[in-house]
Amino acid sequence: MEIVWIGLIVGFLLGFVIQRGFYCFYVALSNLVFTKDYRLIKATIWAFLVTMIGFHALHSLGIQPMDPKTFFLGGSIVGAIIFGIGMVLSGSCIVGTPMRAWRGQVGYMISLIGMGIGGWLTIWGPLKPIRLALQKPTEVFIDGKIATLDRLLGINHWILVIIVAALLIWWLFKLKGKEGREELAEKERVSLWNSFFKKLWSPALLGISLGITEIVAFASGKSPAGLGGFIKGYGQYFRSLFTGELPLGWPVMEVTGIMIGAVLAAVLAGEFRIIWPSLKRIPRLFFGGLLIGMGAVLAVGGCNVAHLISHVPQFSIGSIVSMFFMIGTAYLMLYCQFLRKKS
Amino acid sequence: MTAEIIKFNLEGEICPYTLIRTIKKVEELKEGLETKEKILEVIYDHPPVVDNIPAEFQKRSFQVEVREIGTAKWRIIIKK
Repeated sequence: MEIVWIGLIVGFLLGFVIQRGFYCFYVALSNLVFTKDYRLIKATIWAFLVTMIGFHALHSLGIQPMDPKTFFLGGSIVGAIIFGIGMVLSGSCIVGTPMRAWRGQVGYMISLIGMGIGGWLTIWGPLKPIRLALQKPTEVFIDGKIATLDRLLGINHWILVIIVAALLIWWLFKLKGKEGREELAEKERVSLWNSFFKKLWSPALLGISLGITEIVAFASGKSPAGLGGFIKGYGQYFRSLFTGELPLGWPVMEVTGIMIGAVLAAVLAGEFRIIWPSLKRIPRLFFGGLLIGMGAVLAVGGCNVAHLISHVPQFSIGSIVSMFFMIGTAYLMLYCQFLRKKS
Repeated sequence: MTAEIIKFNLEGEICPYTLIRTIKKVEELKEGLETKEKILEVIYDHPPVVDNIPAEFQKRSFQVEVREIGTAKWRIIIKK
């Protein structure tokens, strides 16, 4: 019973936070390459710092042991590449899609349906044998245990935490004053209520809130080590169409919570509006979602959020490899489409 | 002298490509825009542009005008 509520609450928090911060990892990436808007990348760095220090502290204090993702040489790489292609097609990611869908954009709701079908196909459907072949038989261990960076380097995980934290803080300082749009915003005085419920959140507020939501999920010990299982949630919704039963476990409750939180945040800010997509946009949104769903499942239940702010902070090598291929694929596609024409 | 209006239709295009393709177009028309011989007029049907297109181009010291010209349809004018 308990598991149901904590999943719903965590989903609600996440939905609210991504909506107020307008958080999309893919836009963070593309902005880093094309524009001078570093707001979302800074938020991501903040979130990473909070979760990394939080996870390792909870682990060392004996409150909640870490549970880094396994490294499947096949799934972690193939899944990440499929996921990257899906991101570029739909122009969104695992959190950007619900964020936009639940502020009323019907096109992204279609993308969510694609994610559900993609998840169903690979978890239970006809693509299940491919997933099984790409995962367990290709697992890579270090000393017979899950492959993590601290095990690979043979050092204490806290030394790595300090090194990574120092590098990230240095990066934050380098990006200081490069927030982007809020520099332009008039420095008018707004009430606390308005700055919280109406205005776009600052990178620090957005990132720290994301990080804290993640820590709540992790500390509850009920979720797959932090946030995650989104695709499984959408997949279970889709599957319930045939089986008639909807298992109210963590994944379903989490994605339901995201919907409630994100809709509420958009309505409170007066931003909720139903918008229909143009017809020619629909196939891209649907297939983008489908590939994101399939890719995330193949990459060991790994969407960008699960990998980047849950499992890379736990130094899972599988997640580091997946993120590398995910970002690499997206960048390569963007490069071919836009950057190459420059020269 | 009246400036030449360059029309660019990005209907059906989604985030972040709305922004990327606009940036590419502005770079392509850079000279004409600088000398005020050209004005860029872009049509979008993707809501986030209302926020992110002005933000990006004001930072690049352009003048940006946004007008809603239909349900979920916007015309954005970018000029020096």
